[in-house]
Amino acid sequence: MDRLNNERGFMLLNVIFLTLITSFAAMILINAVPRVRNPQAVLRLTAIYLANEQLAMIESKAAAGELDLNYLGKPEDLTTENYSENVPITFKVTSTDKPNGNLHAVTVKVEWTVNGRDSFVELERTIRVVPE
Amino acid sequence: MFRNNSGGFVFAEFAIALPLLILLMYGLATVGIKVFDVGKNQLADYVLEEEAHDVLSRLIYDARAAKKVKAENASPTLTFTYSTVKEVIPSGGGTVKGDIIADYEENRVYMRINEKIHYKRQTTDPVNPITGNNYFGETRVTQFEFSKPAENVLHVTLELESEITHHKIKISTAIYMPGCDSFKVY
Repeated sequence: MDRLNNERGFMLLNVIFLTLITSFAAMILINAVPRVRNPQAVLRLTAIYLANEQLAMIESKAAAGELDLNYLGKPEDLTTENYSENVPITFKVTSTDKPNGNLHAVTVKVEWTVNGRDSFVELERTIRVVPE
Repeated sequence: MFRNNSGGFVFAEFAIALPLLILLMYGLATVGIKVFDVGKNQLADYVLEEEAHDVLSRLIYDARAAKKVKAENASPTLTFTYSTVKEVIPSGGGTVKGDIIADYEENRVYMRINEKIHYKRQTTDPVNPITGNNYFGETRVTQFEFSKPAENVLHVTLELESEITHHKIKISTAIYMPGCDSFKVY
């Protein structure tokens, strides 16, 4: 065993190499973590434009004198396949109204569920109902 | 062979470390390539999302104040016309500097040419592509459609496909145009 005294250099080198390899591996693996795709950003964007559509339809009807809070957009816009690997995701649109004279603060809420997680987007716009 | 110096330490050192090192490096190289690949796709997807968002947000702001709108679905073209005023450039006659032409009309046009969306203002003669040509991922437009679901409401559907990941993003929205006098969809 006393002959291992000659191999101190190798043992030191082992320690240095192992440290380098471990830090290298850690660097690569830490980089991999945020690369997992998050589909929520795209669904959120789609939902924002869907809420805009609903607000535009409400505004058009309000200009003719009626405030209608049902879903007025195109029915096919309620489902999307954006980044969902051909599994359609359905949006639920609800509108609420806080009237103040003929000015209405209309809030449109778009809700969806992906991988068991509920998310929503809420947009508000002041809409004037023109009395006929 | 091993008797003369170190009792076989050098042999044992490399016999154990070399195969381990090769295995470890192979694994790290595989993971590293995967990380770069996923990162490339992520950038391409981000470009796709960003371009759809950019086109639609420009379109919403332009449509909102339009006086006349003409939408053609055959070769997707969307023309907004605004009433503005223009200062007269004096060239003899009865006009002086500072006179203005009221009801001067200006156009802004969105059109799809060669799977890209182009944007044109009256003042800029060449047509500028506002999608595609991105360093991080090429995109192409697969659908650009207009319809009129209600009075003075323009419904737009935009679908883009990434050339890198072949993912598609389809966004529909509608814009109410309160000051619009004539709105036609062909």
